[in-house]
Amino acid sequence: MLYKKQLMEFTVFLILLTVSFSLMTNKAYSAGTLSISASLSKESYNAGEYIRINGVVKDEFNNPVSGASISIQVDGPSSVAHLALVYSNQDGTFIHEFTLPPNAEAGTYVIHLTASKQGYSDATTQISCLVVSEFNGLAVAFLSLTLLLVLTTIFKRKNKNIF
Amino acid sequence: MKQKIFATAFLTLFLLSLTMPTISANETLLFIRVEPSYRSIKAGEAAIYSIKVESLTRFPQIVTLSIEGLPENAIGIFTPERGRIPFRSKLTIITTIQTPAGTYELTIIAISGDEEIEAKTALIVNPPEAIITSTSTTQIITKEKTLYANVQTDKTVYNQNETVKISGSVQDQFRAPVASVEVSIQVVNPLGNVVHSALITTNNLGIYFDNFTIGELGYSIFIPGVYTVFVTASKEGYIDGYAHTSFVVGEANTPSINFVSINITDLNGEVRSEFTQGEALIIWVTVENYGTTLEKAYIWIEVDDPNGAPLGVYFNIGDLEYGKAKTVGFSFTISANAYKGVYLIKAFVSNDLISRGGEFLASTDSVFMVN
Repeated sequence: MLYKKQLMEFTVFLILLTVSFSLMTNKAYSAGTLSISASLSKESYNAGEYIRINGVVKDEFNNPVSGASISIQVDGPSSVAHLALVYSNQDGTFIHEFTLPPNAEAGTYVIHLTASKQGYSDATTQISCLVVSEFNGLAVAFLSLTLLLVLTTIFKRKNKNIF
Repeated sequence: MKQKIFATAFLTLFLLSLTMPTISANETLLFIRVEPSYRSIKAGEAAIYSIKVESLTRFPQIVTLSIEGLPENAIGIFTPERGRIPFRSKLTIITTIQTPAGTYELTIIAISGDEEIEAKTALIVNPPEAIITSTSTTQIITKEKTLYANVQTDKTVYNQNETVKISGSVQDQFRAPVASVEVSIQVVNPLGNVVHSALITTNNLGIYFDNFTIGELGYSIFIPGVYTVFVTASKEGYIDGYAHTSFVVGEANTPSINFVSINITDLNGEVRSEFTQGEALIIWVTVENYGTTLEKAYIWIEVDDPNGAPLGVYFNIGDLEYGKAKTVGFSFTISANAYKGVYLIKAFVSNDLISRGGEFLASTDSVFMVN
């Protein structure tokens, strides 16, 4: 009788152990899916200006994922302009800042991002911005000022003619 | 007679074995030598020291070098900053005319696994020349206060229940060690589970140590593969520094890539860390892979000016075979009107272009100076 009871207890223990083991391994082997979103504070930048990329990494349940690595490749109009590797914080957010060189090529810059974490499948996204060269920026400012002066003069002349 | 000789020889050998230090398989017994014992320069000049790192054992661990005791307004650059023993490095200390005159005792620190060894040398800074025109002065322009962390393990491949010894150092933008930095360490297994975490503080040499045994913390199921160590260094007033490294437990089914060193030479092959405007240099990057072979691996470098602006991105494509190291050279020309100051080299390895969904598997950095 005592032997049977011990055998039953041992069997229950074995079943519990097997269940907990399978739960553990299932949990360990279940691969989640990452999602990444990123944004820039502006759509257009001047050469020499600071670019700040903000983003967040989440799982398939919309929960923030910390410790995910975010690989960043910034493609300029004709070549790769910048690389970075950053990590997401406790709340899943990440920030990366870099300065454009003063002679940065003008045009569209595409920022490619890949979020990775062991046990999850990767997520990718891309954002873009326009970079205006310093010379172009000055030229635009000069043209705008000239246009403003011309319009003001025309307006003043018109007013003189009226009175 | 013969017996007597044998007995004497045996006794001598026995006594010698008692006096000789025993070297266990896990001990590295590092040795570091710095030459010369001192250098005397004028403020605004540079001093170069030669460093040799060796070990008594045949375990070729990766060693990271750092320096303590630098004067104000000076920077110390190791070329290379890390390497697999035995290796030689060159320490260049660049001063400015603002560097205070005096005698400075410099401590060169080499760390590997849970070992830390030091070597001493000295730097005598004499007052600068009496007449200094503004154009001849050098300013060490750097971006805001930033922490640079590095991390390494004592081995690249471990077995179950083995102890992994983690070490690293934290430096500022002048490559000076930063004490009392909070270092958060997380070790992630191939399934993404955190198998070890620790929060430690750097000592007065900017160094931290940690260790854990594979299989602790309830994750007793033996999971072979590539484990990653993530490190975040934080201190008030500084931008956080990050680093990661990987090691293999048992057998890997993914690549496990780590940087061994970044070396900078001039076009004649001389190791240097100080250059002038208009000069050309070659950046030599060595990586190794202890996981599965990574085909068409991208080895990248980016050179950033003292303001943090990227000046150029270069890459090389090729296979990174299992158990092999690969060295790639990238040439870079400093423009004639380049800023003077500390230039940062960032190096990465990726499995594809990030624009095609690739990811960086390893990263490191180094610096050089434009005077």
